[in-house]
Amino acid sequence: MYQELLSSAKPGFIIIMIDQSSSMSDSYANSTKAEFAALAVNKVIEEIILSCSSGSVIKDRCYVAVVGYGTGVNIIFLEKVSDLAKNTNTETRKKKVSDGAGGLVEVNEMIRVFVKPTASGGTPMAEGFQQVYKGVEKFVSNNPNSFPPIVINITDGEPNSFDTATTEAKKLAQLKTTDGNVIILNAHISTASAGKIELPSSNSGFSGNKFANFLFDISSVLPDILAESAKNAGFNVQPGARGFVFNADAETLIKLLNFGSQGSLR
Amino acid sequence: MAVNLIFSGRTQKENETISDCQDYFQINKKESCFAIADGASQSFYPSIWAELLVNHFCKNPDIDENNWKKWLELIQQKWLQEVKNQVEKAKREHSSIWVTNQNRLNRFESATSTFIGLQFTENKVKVSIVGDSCLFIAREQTQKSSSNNSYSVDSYLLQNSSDFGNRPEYFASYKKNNDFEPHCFDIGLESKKCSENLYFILATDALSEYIFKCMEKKKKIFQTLLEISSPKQFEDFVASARNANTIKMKNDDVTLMVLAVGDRSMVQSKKRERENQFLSIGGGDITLTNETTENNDSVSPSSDEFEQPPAENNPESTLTKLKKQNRNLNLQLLILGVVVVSLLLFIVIDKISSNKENQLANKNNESLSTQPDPNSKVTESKSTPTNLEEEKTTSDKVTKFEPIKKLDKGTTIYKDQELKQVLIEPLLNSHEVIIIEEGEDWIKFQIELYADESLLNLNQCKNCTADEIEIKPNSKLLGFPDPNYTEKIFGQLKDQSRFKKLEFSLYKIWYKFRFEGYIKK
Repeated sequence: MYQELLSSAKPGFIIIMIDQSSSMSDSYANSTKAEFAALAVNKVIEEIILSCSSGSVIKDRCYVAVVGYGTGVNIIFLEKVSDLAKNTNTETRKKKVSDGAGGLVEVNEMIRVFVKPTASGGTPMAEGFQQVYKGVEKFVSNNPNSFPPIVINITDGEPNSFDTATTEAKKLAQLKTTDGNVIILNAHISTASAGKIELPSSNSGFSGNKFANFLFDISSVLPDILAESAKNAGFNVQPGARGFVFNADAETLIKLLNFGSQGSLR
Repeated sequence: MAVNLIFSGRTQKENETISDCQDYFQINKKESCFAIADGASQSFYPSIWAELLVNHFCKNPDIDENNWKKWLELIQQKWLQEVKNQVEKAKREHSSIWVTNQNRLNRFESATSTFIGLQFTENKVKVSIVGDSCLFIAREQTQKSSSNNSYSVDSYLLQNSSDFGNRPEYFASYKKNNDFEPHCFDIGLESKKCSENLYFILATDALSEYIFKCMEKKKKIFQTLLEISSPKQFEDFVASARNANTIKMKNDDVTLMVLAVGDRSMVQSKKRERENQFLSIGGGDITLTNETTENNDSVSPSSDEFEQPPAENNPESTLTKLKKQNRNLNLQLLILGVVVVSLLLFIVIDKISSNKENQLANKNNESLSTQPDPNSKVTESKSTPTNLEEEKTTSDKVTKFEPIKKLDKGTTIYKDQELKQVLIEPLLNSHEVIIIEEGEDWIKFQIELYADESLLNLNQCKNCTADEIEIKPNSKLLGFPDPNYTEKIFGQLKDQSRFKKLEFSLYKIWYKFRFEGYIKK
């Protein structure tokens, strides 16, 4: 299980769910949660495009979708990677990179803008999972032998209904290809400096926290391929670790997005 | 040392094209150099880098643990220049890849690639390896009581399927990423009379992992590999392995190169400083000694095909084997004097025979993407087709060739068996061709030829399939991709014609194709 490589013959499916509720307007990492989440998602999509590029061509090794939930549920896009790359809406930022001689040099980095910051309404996470289910169901029907879809959910607050969200997430996790069940990763972002949880293998340390328990419960145990990728990203990964971070700072969110999206694109 | 190239080929991931393949191999027969490289998919322009590596090695095989950084420098510069050209081109053409690749160029991203280079010299093979492409050295162990063959196998550098991970060591295209020193070592080869070949099998990671899995599950694999002799058989083997129910090969680019070294006269093995390995072929036994333990991961004799568990689980088996082999060697020394005259006679006959086979096989291997060298010492052989799922019960590794005919200078070549429409008139030099069909008064033949791109109707041939090229009338077709070799000019094409394109990546302006024609009996 979880052995297939993502390829044009057997493409994968990476779905990012973004909480766009009003609380996402809270400050976070020198901006707001909504702004940082949008930037992080845009960057990770750029990395997915990069991973699918081969020299001068872009191979459709996966589909990518972004689903927002706040005032309602909004499918921001669902595209093949080669179509995503056609996005000409770019922003240029300065970035410092190693110059190879022990120093840093500032270079331009262009980022395609796919997701814009939004923060309004409640947290209809269950409806978000329902919407993702429809897309994933169609994907596994058309690609029964692919690496299973990976769903990465970024949220900052409790869902409107724990029970319904749990039911819908577990229903989604039952979908599978011949290579394994759908993988669900959850990132709870917060500015709280205490109570950080990273890829736990049990809930013994936070059993009294209903929200954390909920996210732990609906998160998948990391298959080997993602566990290795998480280790390489700098996480301490124990056997049975689940794809879940709580009270994640900006760096942890980026790390989870990267290993979650890149692990299967090796 | 005579090295027989049995097969070399590469193939791409399922549903992709060969132009997507980031594996490369190269061969320099004259220098007995052989190399494979596997460009890492997620690195930056790995294809350019992998191709530069194998080509560079086959021209400059003198890489070692002291000079490897310097050795890489020249091609690191070439890679960067080529990448800059590609990024500028993408920008000019408003290609959607431009944003991604400009970012990668700005942040000094490297291409990375695994690598194996072999150079056979008089008494040894010089090996350079980095990463998880593997070298397997297999020796036949013919069993008198059975027609089954088994193989004793050494693998370098990895030892089992669990050694494969997502982050293999590599050569990088930027100096700043020169993170992994290659493993450079010599394997001394000393031969006495023996009937078995020693096989050198070079494989990129997906195939190497598959080989280990087969060995671990006691499934025969080496017989299957050694019987691959055509691109079709190779493609079938890979497709079958990818879709097998039990042991599956990962859907990745795959490169396979199989070389055979036969017996030869005894020479003294020279030992290198870092790793002293001595592999002796004689009287049906191999003696392999590793006189240093500094680098254990480069030598681990293991046994394939049922007789013994892998050596790492059974270290005594290797010692026992070595002792037995040493006793056999002593006996062989006694009889060596008696057979020496016969042996010399045998070598002379064999030499004549192998030269002939070399000429024939050069015309028979479609996936050999290297410059044909009329003076090469390396021979190629061809064996019978196989099916991966079948457990072969015979060791029918027959060396068999298609019938060959020498066409004389001045011969007229026709388009079909009607023998009316002239294709080439006259043949400008004599050439050996492969006969593929015969009628009462005609013979159909094929030969692999070359044409430079100026002679092609590129992008103008409406009826051409993806694997066909159309050549303009009055074009000179060559038997060697260099018009200065006048004796290799085949002939002038009378009319515009279509041919099956063959893979040939060494010189991009040259196209290789299969020419088929008819002559009168």
